[in-house]
Amino acid sequence: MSKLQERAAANKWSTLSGKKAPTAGAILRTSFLLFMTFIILAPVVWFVLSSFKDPTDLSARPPKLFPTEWAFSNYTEAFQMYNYMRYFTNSVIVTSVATVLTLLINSMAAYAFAKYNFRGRDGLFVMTLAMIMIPLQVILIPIYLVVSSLGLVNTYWGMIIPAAATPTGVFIIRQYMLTIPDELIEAARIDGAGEFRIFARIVLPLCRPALAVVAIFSILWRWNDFLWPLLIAQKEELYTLPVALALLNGQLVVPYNIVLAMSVMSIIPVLFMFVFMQRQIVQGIAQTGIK
Amino acid sequence: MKIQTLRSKLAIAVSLVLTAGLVATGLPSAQATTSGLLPTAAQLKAWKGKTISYYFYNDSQAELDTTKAQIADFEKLTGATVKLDVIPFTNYDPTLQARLAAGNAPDVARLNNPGFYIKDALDLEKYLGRKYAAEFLKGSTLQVTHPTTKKLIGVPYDLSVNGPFINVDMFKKAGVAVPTSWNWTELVAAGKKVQKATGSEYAFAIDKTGHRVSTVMSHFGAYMVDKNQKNVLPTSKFRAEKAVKIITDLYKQDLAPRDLWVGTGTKYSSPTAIFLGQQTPIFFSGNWQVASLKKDAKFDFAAVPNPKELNGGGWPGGKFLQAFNASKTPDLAAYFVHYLADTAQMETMDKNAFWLPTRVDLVAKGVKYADRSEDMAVFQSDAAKTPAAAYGIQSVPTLTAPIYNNLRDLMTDIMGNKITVKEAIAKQIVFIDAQLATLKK
Amino acid sequence: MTNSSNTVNRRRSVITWRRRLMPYLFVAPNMLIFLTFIIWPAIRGFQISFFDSIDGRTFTPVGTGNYRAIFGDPTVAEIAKNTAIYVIFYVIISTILSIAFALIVNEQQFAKGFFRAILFLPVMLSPVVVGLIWNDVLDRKVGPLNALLEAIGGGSPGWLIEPKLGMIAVIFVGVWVHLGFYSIILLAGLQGIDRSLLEAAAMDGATRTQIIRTIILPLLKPTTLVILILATIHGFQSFDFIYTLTGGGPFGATTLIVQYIYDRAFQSPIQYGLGSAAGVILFMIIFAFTALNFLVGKKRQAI
Repeated sequence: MSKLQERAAANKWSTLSGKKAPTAGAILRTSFLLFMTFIILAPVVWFVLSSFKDPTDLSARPPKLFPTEWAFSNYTEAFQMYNYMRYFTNSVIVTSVATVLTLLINSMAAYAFAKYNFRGRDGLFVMTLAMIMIPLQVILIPIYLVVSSLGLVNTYWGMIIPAAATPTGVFIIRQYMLTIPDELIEAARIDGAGEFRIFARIVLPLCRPALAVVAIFSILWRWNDFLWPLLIAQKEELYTLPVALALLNGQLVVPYNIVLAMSVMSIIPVLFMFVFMQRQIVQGIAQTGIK
Repeated sequence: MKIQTLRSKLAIAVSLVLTAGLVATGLPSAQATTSGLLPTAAQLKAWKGKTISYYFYNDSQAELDTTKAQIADFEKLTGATVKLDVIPFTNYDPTLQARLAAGNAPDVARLNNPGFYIKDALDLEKYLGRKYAAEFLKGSTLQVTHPTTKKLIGVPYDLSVNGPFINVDMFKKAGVAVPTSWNWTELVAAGKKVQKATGSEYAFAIDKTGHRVSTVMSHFGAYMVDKNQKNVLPTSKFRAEKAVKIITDLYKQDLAPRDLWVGTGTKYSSPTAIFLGQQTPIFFSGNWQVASLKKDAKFDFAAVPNPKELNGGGWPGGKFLQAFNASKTPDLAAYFVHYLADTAQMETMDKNAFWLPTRVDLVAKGVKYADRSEDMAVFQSDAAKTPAAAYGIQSVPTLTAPIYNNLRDLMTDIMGNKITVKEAIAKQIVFIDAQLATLKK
Repeated sequence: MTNSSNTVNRRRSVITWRRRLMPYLFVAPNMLIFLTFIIWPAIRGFQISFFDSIDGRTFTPVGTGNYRAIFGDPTVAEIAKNTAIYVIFYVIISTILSIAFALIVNEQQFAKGFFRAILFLPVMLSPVVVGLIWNDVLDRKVGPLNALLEAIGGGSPGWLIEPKLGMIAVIFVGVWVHLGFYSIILLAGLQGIDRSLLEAAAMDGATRTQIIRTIILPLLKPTTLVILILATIHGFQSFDFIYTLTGGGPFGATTLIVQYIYDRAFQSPIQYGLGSAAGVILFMIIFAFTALNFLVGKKRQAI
C-alpha cells in the first residue's frame, strides 16, 4: 500500500473524541450481545404486538408482525372483565408488606447465624437452606389445612405471612453480614448498647446492598406468585394480578386475544420496575459479593 | 322450621302455576310445585343478617352478571347476605376440597362434578319436600340423587347439550347448504369442501375432551357405562372404534387442529379461537358457547343438528347446585338453592346466558330467547332426541371425569401414531373396569 | 472487696445470659414461620404419602403402596427420564452460557450497562406469561419463529408437537428465563477478582484465553458452585412455565415430576397420597443432588 493509502486506513475511524477503532474482539462481543438482546426482546415485543391483534390476525398464516387494525378493544374489554385496579392494589399491598416483613425477619435470622455462636446454629442454618428444596405443590393441602386452622384464609395476612421466611434471603444477608467486622459489634457492646439496638442501629444500615437485593427478589417473587394466593384468596376482592390472570385463563370461554391483553396488563408494572430498578438490582448483587 | 309447612297456605296460589303437558321423559302432568315459594315471617326473622357463601364459576360474563342481579334480589327478599366466591375453573374441585377438608365449607356451590361431594351434600328433601325432585327433568336428577338413600341432594341447574356450530358465511361461499340433517360422512365431506373452497386452515375442530367425543360415540351407538354401573364398551367396541377413528383421522390428516390437541398435554383446550378466526367451518362444542360466540364472532354462524348415524341427538352435561350439610344455616342455604333454580330465576338465566332449562315447567312452556332462538331451538330439539343410554354414565358420578380424561389421552396417543384405534378402545375397556372396581371397595 | 467482685461477676453473668438468649430470639420469627408453614405441612405431607385419599379428608392407609406404585409404574419411569434429561441439559447449558455471557459483558465497553440489564428481563416475567409468550412464538403455523425459518428455507418444525423438539423447546425456554439471574451472580463474582492479578498476567504476555483459563475460571469456582446448586434446584422444580407451554405434552415428553405431583391433586382421578409420595421422593432427590454438589465443592475447597 502506498503511504497515502496507509494513512487513510489509519484515519478511517477518526472521530471527534479520537477513540481508537474497535478491535475484532470488540465487534464480535457486541455482535454476540446484540444477538442475545434480540433473543430476549423479540419474543416479548411480539407478544405485546399480538395483544393488539383480533382473532383473524391471530390465526393468520403466515403471521403478520403488526396488526391490520390495532384492536384496542382487547384492552377495553379486558379492563371491563377484569377489575384491574382492584387486583393491582392487592398485588401492591401483598408485595410491599410481605417484602418489609421478609426483610425484617430474614435479617434478624441472618444476624443470628452470622454473628452469634449458639448451640444448634449450623443445624438450623442447613435446615433453613434445605427449605428451598420443598416444592409448594407437595405440601399444598397440608399448608392449607394449617393456614385455615389459624383463621388466615381469605385474609391479606394469609397471603403474606407463610412465604415471608425465605431461605434465600437469609442466606444472602448472612453472607454479607459475615464481612462486617466483629470489632464493630464488640465495641458497641462495651459502650453498653443493647443487642437489638446494635442490630438495628449499627449492623442493619451497613447491610444496605444485601437488603436491597433481598428486597428486589422478594418483590419479584411475591408479585408473580400465583399458586399460593390462588388458594388463599377466595373472594374476588382479594385477588392479585396473577390469580386474576389464571382465573380468566382457566375459564372455558375467554377468547385468546383478551387473554393476551390481560397478560400484557399484568406485566406492565414489572416492566416499569425493570426499567427503573435494573441498576439497583445489578449493583446490589455486585456489592453483596455472592461467593 | 320447615318450608314444607308453607304448602297448605300457598296451595291456591301455587295451583295457578301447575305444570301441564308431557316431556320427553314422560313425567306425569299437573302436580303442585314449590315454584314461587316465599319465606315465612318466622324464617325472615331467623335469617335476617345471616350470611351464606356461594362457591361459583362462570362460563360467560352474562352468567356472572345475572347471578349477581339475582343475588341482590335474594338479599332484598330474605334480609340475608350472600357472599359470592368466583373461582377459576381449572382449580375448582381441588380448591373446594381443600376448603371442605379445612372445615371451611361454603353453603352453596355450583358444581360440575357433584359426585365428589355426595357425603357433604345437604338433603334437600328435608327442606323442600319429597316432590321437589319431580320439578326437574328425571334424567338430570340422577347425578344429584344420593346413591343409597335416594334422596335429592342437589338440583340440576342447567342442561348442556353438545353439538356442532358452522360458519354460515364460509358455507355460503363454498356453495354448501346449511344442513338440516346429516350423518358423519356428510359432515366430513361438507367440511372438506368448504375448506377447499375458502382456503381455510382446517375442515373441522372439536373441543379436546372425552365428553365431547362421547357424543360422536353415541351417534354410532357406542357407550361406556350404563345406568347399572356396568361397563358396556365391550359390547359396542366396533362402533366405538368407528366413531373415534373419524375424529382421529381428521386430526392425523391435519384437517383438524392437531397442534392444539397434541401440544397441550393434559390441559383442556378449546378451538374457539380457531373458529372465531374463521379457520374452520365446523366447530363441535355445545350450547354454552352461544353467549360468547354471539359477542365475539364477526361472521354469521349457526348451531346445526347433530349428525345422525344410529342415533341423533347430543350428549348431556350440565351444572348442578348443591347445599352443604356443614352449613350453619341449612334452611337458608336450601332456600337459596331453591331460589336460583326457581322458575322465574332459571328462565331469566336461561335467556341471558343461553342455557337450556332443567325444570319440567320451563321445558313444557319453552324459553323464549331474545336472540339466537333458532340455535337454541336446534339444541333443545337435540336434547329431546338424546338417547336414554347417554345418561348411563351418570350412574357413576365420581368416575365420569377420569373415564373421559383417559379417553382423551388415548386419542392423543392415536393421533401421535403411538397406538391404533383398536388398541385404544381395548385400553379404555380395561381402564373402565379398573375404575368400576374402585366402587366395590 | 469480695462485695464488689461479686457485683462484677453477677453483672457479667447477667450480660452473658442475655447475650446467650438473643440469637434464639433473633432466629425465632423466621423459624416459627418455617415450622408452622413448611416443616409441619411437610411432615403431614410425608404422613399422607402412606395413605390413599381422593378428597383430602378421608384417608385409607396403604402402607408403602404408593411408593411401590410409583416405582412400578412405567409412566413414572418415563417421567423420571424426562426430568433427568431436562435437569442435566438445563444445568449444563445454563452454567456454560451464563459464564460465557458474564465474561463477555465484563469485557464489554459499549453499552455495557444496557446489555447487563436486558438479560435480566425474562427473570421478572411471571412463569405463566413466559409460557404464553413462547406458546405464541413457537406455534407451528402462526408463530413468528417458523415464519422466519420458512423465509430462510428451514421448514416449519413442530416445536410443540414433536416429542424431541418439545423437550428442546422447554430446555431453551427454561434457560432463556434464568440466564440473566445466573449471569448477574457471576458478574458479581467477577468483580471480586483482583484486577492487579489480571494486569500482571497480561504484562507477562498471557493471552486473553490463557488468563481466562488459568486465573479467572479457577477464582470463579465458588460462584460457579452457587450457580450449579441454584440451577439444579430450579431445574428440578420447573413446572409453571412448562405446564403453560406444553401441558406436559407432546405425548408426555415434557411431563416432569412436579407435574406428576400437580396432576395427582388437580386432575381426575385425584390421588393425594400418591402425589405426596412423589413429592417426598422429589425432595430426597433434590436434597441428594444438592448435598453432593456441596460436598464436592467443599472438597475442592471452593466454599
